[in-house]
Amino acid sequence: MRFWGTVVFGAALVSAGLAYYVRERSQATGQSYTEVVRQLPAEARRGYGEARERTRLAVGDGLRAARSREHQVERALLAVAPRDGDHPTL
Amino acid sequence: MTDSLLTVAAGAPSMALRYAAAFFLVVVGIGLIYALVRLGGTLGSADKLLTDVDGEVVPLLKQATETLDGVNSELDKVDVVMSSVVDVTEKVDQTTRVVESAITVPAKKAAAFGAGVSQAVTSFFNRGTDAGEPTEPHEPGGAGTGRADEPTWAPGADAAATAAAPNADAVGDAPVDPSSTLPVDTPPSTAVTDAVGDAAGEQANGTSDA
Repeated sequence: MRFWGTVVFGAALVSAGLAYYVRERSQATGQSYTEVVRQLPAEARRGYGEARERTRLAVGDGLRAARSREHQVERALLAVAPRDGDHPTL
Repeated sequence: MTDSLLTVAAGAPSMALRYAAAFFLVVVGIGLIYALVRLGGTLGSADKLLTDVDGEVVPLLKQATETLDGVNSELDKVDVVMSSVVDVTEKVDQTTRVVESAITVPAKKAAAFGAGVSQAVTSFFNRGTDAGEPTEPHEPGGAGTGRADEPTWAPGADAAATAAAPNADAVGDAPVDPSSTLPVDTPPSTAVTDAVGDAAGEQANGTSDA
């Protein structure tokens, strides 16, 4: 009962979201609800592809920024680290 | 009689000389005796002085020897203590190095991870909102995100593109290539802005890398 309740609740949420999207899309483009619904698979594929591409580029930017930051921290640590000759000898 | 007088007269000078020599010898003997007596007294004083010095210097030397032995034993203890201090210092130095490496490496990785995640999130969302503008580098020498060859996406542009293509349902069933949709989504002015921004970003990257 709990499982089916979750399923019904999720389906209601997805339906409400889709209905809101279709209504907003119809108002923005002037198309009918049927046309917007028919274009949903293509929109989903395009959004998926763009999100994947943006994710790939964002990961590349993140890796470059991480390497740059690591080099900065390494240089900062080397700048403040004492040299071997600075150690007092007894 | 005359002969005896002559003999006496002839022997008188030798007798005077003999008396004078005897007197001289007596005087010299007396002087020698006096000098020897004084020398004996001086030597007695010196002997006494040497005896006293010998009786006082020997215990002093013995005491100085004992003191030096004590100082040497203390110096040996100090040497042991200094060796221990050197060992402790070396161990502290090694421990400090280990702790430093154990702290700095994760801190460096954490800083790099945070900067990378921040830049990735910023780049991901800025591509959606500011499609035509290159994002600000997260740090000096960082990478600009806007590129001419990168696909851009504008939320309002796809609606216009969909409106411009009313028969999109025929295309909608086919697999969508993101690169094929980019010229439709990106207006020409935006593409020029992208190219200019990318050139500036690449120049900044080239100078920072150099």
